[in-house]
Amino acid sequence: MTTILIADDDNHILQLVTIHLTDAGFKVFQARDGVEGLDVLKKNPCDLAVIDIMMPYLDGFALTKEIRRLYDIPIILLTAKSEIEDKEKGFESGTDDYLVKPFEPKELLFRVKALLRRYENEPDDSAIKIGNTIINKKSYEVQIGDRIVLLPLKEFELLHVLASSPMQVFSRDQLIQQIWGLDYEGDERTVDVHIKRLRERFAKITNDFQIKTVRGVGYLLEANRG
Amino acid sequence: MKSLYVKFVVITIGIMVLSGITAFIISNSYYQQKLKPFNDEKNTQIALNITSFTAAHPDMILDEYMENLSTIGYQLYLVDQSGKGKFFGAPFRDKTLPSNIISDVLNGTSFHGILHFPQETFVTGFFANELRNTIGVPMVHDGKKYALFLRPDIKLLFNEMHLLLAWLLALTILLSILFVLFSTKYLVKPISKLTAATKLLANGSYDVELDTYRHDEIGELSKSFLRMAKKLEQADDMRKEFISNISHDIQSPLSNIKGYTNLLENEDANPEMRAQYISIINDEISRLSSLTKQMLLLASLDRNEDILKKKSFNVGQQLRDLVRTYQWVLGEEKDLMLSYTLPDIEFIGDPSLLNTVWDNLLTNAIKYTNPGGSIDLSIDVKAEYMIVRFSDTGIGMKPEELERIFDRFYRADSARTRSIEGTGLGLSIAAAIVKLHGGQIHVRSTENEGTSFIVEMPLAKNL
Repeated sequence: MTTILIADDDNHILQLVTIHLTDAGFKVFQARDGVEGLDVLKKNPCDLAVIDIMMPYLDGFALTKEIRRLYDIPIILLTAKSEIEDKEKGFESGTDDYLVKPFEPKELLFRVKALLRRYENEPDDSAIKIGNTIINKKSYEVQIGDRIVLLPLKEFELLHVLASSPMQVFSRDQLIQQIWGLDYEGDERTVDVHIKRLRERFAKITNDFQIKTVRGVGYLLEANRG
Repeated sequence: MKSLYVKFVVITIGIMVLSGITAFIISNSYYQQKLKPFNDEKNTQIALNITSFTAAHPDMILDEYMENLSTIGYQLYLVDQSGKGKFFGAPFRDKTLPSNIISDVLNGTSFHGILHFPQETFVTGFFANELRNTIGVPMVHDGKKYALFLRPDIKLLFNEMHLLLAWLLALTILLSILFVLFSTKYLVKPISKLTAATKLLANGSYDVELDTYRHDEIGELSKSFLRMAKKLEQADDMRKEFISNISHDIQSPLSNIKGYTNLLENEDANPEMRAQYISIINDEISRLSSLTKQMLLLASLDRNEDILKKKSFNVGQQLRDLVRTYQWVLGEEKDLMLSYTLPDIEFIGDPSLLNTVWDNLLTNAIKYTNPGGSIDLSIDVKAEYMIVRFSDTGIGMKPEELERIFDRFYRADSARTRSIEGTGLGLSIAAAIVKLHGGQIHVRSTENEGTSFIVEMPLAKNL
């Protein structure tokens, strides 16, 4: 199970973040200041740390530096200040990401997951290469030549599924199950909307591949041989 | 009175007196050094002519001859062998003469009183009417020895000249003083006018009138004073508009907050409605807070260039970091695609202020692009410029809106202003920061097709 350290002296935030992360299936360790945070890490190795900047004894910047020195885990700094100086100082002390309070719990989850993906030690065989286009599942990025393309999550996943098996026809049902999950209640039109967007987007920037409609069945991705 | 006028007059007259004295001293020393020997020699020659004439005509009456000489412009003193002296012509002011000189001359030695007349700084020996200031020569007449002392009768010879010079000098001085008095008045008057104009300005009336036809420094001063007055007037107008805008932008959230707190007081409201009201109030509060923050930033940007804390940093990296912080908003909330070509480029500038620029441009692009749209970021280097481009496929703007988007508090299409949050200061701030870095910001937009902001920054290498 993935474990996460949360260090914040504000009890409300601590509880709020814990609830959301636990719901998402993470095991959470709490700390109320920087020194406690280091203690917790000593006893329980964590996969990621979410750290507030304003804390007694050892503030977030110092704690981040300590963690950087001792462990190889991703760090997200939380702060009430949106001052850019803080942001800069945060990145200088070695944080991977930065989130300003008040934040959407969903956003925190998104970033936690993105960071965990980046830090995964799996070999990078998840990247799919079609011509000049590289679809990288780990970073959720599509790279076309020099240009990096960031897609909305569902669109990326759709593209990734189609690209992982070129020329294979996927039915709308299959795609919904794989991407939106079994309990998705929307209709199949959603897939059409996303496919339409993907086509529009990539038509302008590459002709490495095309997404084709197979009438009455579903969609397939065809790589262009150049 | 210590007015400029009095000072000017006193100084000018002082200069005249000082230069008069200096000129006198210089010309006096010139007389002493150069003219005196010449004068002495000339008069010695005249005296020798007289003595040779008396020696050649022993039968004439000496006194008559002397009397005659004195009338044509000489002062004479004749001493005979017994030491008895006799004056001819205008009397000497000072008749002392050491007796050994007289006996020397009687014994055949010439006396050069003019040449040896004691030098005095403020007295020209030329005018000194003294017996010592004469030429003495031995003279023989009718077998008797005499000593003849003579000097030109300056008063007789140069009296009219004297008067003429005196008048010339007096008139020169008098007229100079008069003209100084008048011309100073003419010079100082515009300054008094300027003073009056500053008083007008201080009272808030900007339509001052000054003579600007003069081509001297004072004319220049008047012209730049008028320019300043015009600028001040513009600044004042801007300030008034700014305040009225600010009051509006502060007043409307406040009245919203007031309205919703009133609604909260209503006990019929159910928890859902209350939660909604509270979130509206919170939104309005954060709007006020970001408004004041941005105003503060803008004010500090206006003040000067010193605000820039320049250092070398990687703009590409900065933009990639920025994009990452918006990844969630882009992908999850708005279904936007963001593509970028951001190579590593070292740039010297203020990283935190430039981050504000990129942040403002990116949030604008996100705000004004509908779901499903896309945004593209790129950095290029062309010649000595770094070109950062933010293009979106958003709602775009009308040409008349484009002209005003960098104005403070201007927000395109006020009808939709309420639905999209923002203070209308973001682009003004971005433009101010870009300008402080010596760059330019351009915008191209087509309604319903999209907008591109292009920032051109000189790659400063002189730091």
